[in-house]
Amino acid sequence: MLSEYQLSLICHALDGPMTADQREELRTLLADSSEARTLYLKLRSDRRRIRRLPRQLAPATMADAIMRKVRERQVLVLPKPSVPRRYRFAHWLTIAMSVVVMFGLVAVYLQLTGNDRNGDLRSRVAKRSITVESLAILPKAMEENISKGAEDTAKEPPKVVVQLPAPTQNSVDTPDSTIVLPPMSNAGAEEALAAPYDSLMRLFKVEMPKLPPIIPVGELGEATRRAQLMEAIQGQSVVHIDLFCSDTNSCFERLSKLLEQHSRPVLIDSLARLRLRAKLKTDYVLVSDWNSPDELENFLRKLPETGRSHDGQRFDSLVPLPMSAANLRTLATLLGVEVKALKPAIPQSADPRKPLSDLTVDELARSLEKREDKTPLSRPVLAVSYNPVRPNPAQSREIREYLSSRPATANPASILAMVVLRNLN
Amino acid sequence: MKLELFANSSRHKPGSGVESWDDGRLIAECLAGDQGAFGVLVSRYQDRLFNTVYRLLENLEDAQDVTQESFVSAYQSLASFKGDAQFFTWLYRIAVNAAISLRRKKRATVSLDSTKGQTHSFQPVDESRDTQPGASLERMENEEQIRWALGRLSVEHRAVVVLKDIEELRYEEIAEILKVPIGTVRSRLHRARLELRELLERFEQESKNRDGSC
Repeated sequence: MLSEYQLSLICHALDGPMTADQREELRTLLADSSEARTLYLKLRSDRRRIRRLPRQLAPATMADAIMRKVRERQVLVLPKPSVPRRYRFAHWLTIAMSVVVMFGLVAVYLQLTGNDRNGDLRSRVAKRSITVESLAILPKAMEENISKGAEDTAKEPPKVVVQLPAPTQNSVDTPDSTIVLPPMSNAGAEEALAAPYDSLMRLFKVEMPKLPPIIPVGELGEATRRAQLMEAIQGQSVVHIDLFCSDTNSCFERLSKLLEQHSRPVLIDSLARLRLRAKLKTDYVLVSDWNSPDELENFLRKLPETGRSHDGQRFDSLVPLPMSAANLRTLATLLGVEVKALKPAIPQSADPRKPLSDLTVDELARSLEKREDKTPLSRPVLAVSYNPVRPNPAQSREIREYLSSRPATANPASILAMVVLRNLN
Repeated sequence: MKLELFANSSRHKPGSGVESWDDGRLIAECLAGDQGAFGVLVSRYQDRLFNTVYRLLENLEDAQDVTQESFVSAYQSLASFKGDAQFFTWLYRIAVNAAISLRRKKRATVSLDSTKGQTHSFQPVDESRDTQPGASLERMENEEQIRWALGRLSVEHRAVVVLKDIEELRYEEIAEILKVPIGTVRSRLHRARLELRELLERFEQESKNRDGSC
């Protein structure tokens, strides 16, 4: 049995250079041990057999495939920037000089801006500050200002004088100086004050955006809410009202009943009717003409009476909005008409200086005769589906009927309301 | 093939002597943006590298993939090649490491799929060998035995045997490629040879038993 050392010696004889001692040891081992001799010969034979294995050549297309991969992946070899040893000193010197120059530039800039700041402050103090002596005559000047009239004071409110410690750099020029701040508006709580932007602590006004009111339908009986509603719709020829409710289908039915109670028949478009019958989740839009904002407000005030308080299907809130151009386009799309068709022509007011012609008198008489024969014209309300939108509104009989019922000329006080019944959930 | 290889190099035309350039010069050309120079390096080492990788993996497709990826990786990181080792040693390191990783991955997959208690078996020698001339038959049998035995070695031992006996590299080069000390290379080679000897003896014994039973 060969020892580990003898085995390693035999293997080493196959693979690497040997010292003279190792060679002598091996020779002795091979001469003495037949087992070692056999193993050595076998291992040498194994090595020869391994070396005789055929060499497997790379496929002919491999080089092309490799270069193609290199090109496809757009491999870029970017050599590392190396600085030769002899230029290293110059390299570091350049970096150090660059840093020094940079610091110098920053220092010069700070110096210049510091001077500017001081100069600016000094000039401001010189312009706006007054000495203690002049402070005594300030109330007189204020009184004169006030006496100029309410109009002037509204434009330019009295200046506020604040005693501030004098800046140190101005101590020579303006001892005991005071700084007069720019006038502050006292418009009230609706104004917000922005953070100061400079050392003089000046505050600026920020215009708050005017948001449309959200009026709970249940509170429409209150005077303040009615005033809010009237403010929103007054003076508008077209108004957009978002009416939120928990279930648009049941609320639509309730709204229809209320309109019919007000002698306003509802023309329901076929698609809206289908969705209403199937109780599908739909947003509806009701388009109606009203003689005046008051009439519309009176109608909307009745909304809380339509539902019971416990059924959970009441109207929630309404948001009156002035009609934007986008909303007007949407309404025109819903009705399949041009935008200008939605605004009926307002008749020119009669010129009192011109005499009424005989022809006009005759036409008026004929018209009144016709009106007497007929029942008063009912003003229908059109209901169409708002979401989803009907694809071809021009083919809707109800829409055509509604459009034809609209007067060619409108009262200047009349208002077109687009009430969108929206699902709250 | 070479015509195609140099098609993108405007500076090097076949027969312009670029093939005689040493590795350092070709690498410098590559770093200067000449892909054609890398093509020369590919054609110079592809066969040698492919053979090594094939002996490590014993699968042509895998060997092809690993060789290709190794060359592409080498090209990508050519800028980091310091030049203190030979280019082919550096290239071998990339390829052998990739092959060893793939081999380990595959072995893990095979060991999960293989059935329990599987005995050592080997690919039977082709039955049609009787129809071939004797020398060719002997060569085939020898190749089959060696391949089988090499396939049974661990990937570390196999790498050492392949690099030493097939590529005939020196201990130092093998140590550089495998990133292990020279002593480790020696001990691995010693153990690999003894293990290989045992495997070949077992193969011969089983062959004799099969012939006896027939």
